[in-house]
Parts: sequence; structure tokens; C-alpha cells
Amino acid sequence: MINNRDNTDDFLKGFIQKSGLESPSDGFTSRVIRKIENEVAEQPLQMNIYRKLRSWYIVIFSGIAAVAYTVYYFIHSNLQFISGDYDPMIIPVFKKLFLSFKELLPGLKVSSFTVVIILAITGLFLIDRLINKFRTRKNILFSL
Amino acid sequence: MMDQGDNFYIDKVLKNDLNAYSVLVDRHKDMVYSIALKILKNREDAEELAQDVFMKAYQSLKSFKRESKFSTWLYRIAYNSAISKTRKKQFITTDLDYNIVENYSIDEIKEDVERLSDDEQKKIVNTILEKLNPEESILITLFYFSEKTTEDISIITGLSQSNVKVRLHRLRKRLLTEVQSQIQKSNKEIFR
Repeated sequence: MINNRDNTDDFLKGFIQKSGLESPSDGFTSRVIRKIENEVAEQPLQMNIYRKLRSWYIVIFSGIAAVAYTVYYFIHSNLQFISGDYDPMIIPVFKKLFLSFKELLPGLKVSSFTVVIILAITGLFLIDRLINKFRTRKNILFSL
Repeated sequence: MMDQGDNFYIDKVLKNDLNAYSVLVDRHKDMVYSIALKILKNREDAEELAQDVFMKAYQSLKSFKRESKFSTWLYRIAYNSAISKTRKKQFITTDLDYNIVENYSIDEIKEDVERLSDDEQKKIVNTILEKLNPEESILITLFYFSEKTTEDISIITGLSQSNVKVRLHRLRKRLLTEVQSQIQKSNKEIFR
């Protein structure tokens, strides 16, 4: 019975192979290789832009965090912002601004731990946006 | 230059030799394309998929453990990618009549086939292959064209090995009956 099956398989193999496999269009292999080369070439470029922009994001984020902390600190402190002798034109403006914040949010009290958590979540959100942007290959410089 | 096995070229590709990968692409493109075409039934889609398959294979080559042949691994990627594209988890199999009375003799069929010209034989083969559903078509292609073992076919398609054997057994019977039927039709046309 096995011999009969081998016989059948040999016949069917020879017969079916007359049809031949389908072939893709001409230049298929070179198109594949070109696609791979382009993808490989894009990766170092992406990494350089990523490194540069990542550092800008960190700088911007750190700046926002520093300003936010400073505002929070002075809202809840009794310290004078800066000595009035330093610059009579600019200081009153800033003094008024901070005093108005203090009046606006008198009851706002946030623990340091909460501040850290909020900053960490915001940071992760920004990093995630950056990674997604590179994955979708958008023009990072002109869109956020 | 001696024809080297796939592993020779894989080692070169892993050392960033892209020319070695073009050899692998040339070697397997017909089979990958045929698998895609049999499932997707559209030449453009099949070609696009075949390109994607080779891209995926290149990107994943470092993780290829060589527990199976490279062709088995590659055709599995092709098969799974094509299935995902159709968004079908299972093939819809047609209600073929596998309860066929074996009223043929393989030797008689062979004799009848040998009397036909190459073109006529090719025409009969194409007619029969068109009647098959994608799953049957893939099994025939892998078994008779690529000469894969039932174990390899099981790895590629995800079917159990016993399932592959049963399906191939039924397909053999079906194919022989179809061949006989097509030859009889062809003979009737000659004598009209």
C-alpha cells in the first residue's frame, strides 16, 4: 500500500510540477534589497534626531518643572520675591503677579510627593509622544 | 561557484552582507509569492505581501534559531502574514466530496496522461488547481512543489501532522479522480 502511495505521489509530483510556481514581477529582488537599504539608512538618522530632540524635551520639561516649583514655593512662603532695590521697573510687575496667584489659590496645598508624581507622569507622557512620533515618522520639527 | 545551502548565506547576512540576502530572496521568492497568491488571489497584493515577508524575515533573522530549515521558517511567515491579511483565522473549506469511489487505476491514468502533449497536460493541471480552495492549494504546493515533509507542512500551517496526512491522503484521491475526469472530457472534445 505504501508502494502504491509512493507511486501515486511520484506521478502527481511530476504531473503537478508541469504547472510551475508563480513568479513575482521582474526586479522583485532588487526592490526588496532597496527597501531594506532604505530602512537601514533611516535608522541612524532617526537616532541622531531623536537624541537631539530628546535633550530639548528634557531641557524644556526641566524648565517648566523649575518654574512650576518656584511659583508653588513662593505662593506658600512668606518670603519677599526679590529685593525691591534690584530693579524698580521689573520687580513690582513680578511681585504683583505672584501676589495675585497667592490670592487666587490660597487654599492650594500639595505635598512634595504628589508634585513628584505629577512631574513623573508628565515626563513619561512627553517621552511616549516622542517615541510614537518617530514610529509614525512624522516631521517632528513642525508638529507636536 | 558551488551552490551553497541557506545557512551559508544566513551567516553572511548576519555579518551585514546584503548581497547574500539577495541570493536567499532569489531562491525563495517564487514559493513565497505563490503562497501569498493562493491565499490572497490578487497579484498586486501577493507581491506586496511577498516583499513584506522578506522584510520581516530580514529583521527577524537574528532570532532564527535554525531548529527548522530556513525555507520552513520563511514559508511560515508568508503563510501567517497572508492569513492575517485576509483576517480569517480558518480557511473556509468547500464541501468537497471526499467519499470518492476509487474506480481508477494509477497505471491507467499514467498511460492516459502520457498520451497527451505537454500543453494539454499543463492545461489539465491548471484547471484542477483552480478548483482547489486556498488551503488545499497550499498543501499541494508545499508537498509537491517544495517537497516539504508532513512535519514541515505542520509547522508552516499550524495544522497537526496527522491532520496534514489525512488531508493529503484525501487530496491525492481527489486529484486522481479529477485528472481522470479531465482526460475523459478532453478525449470527448477530440472525438467531436
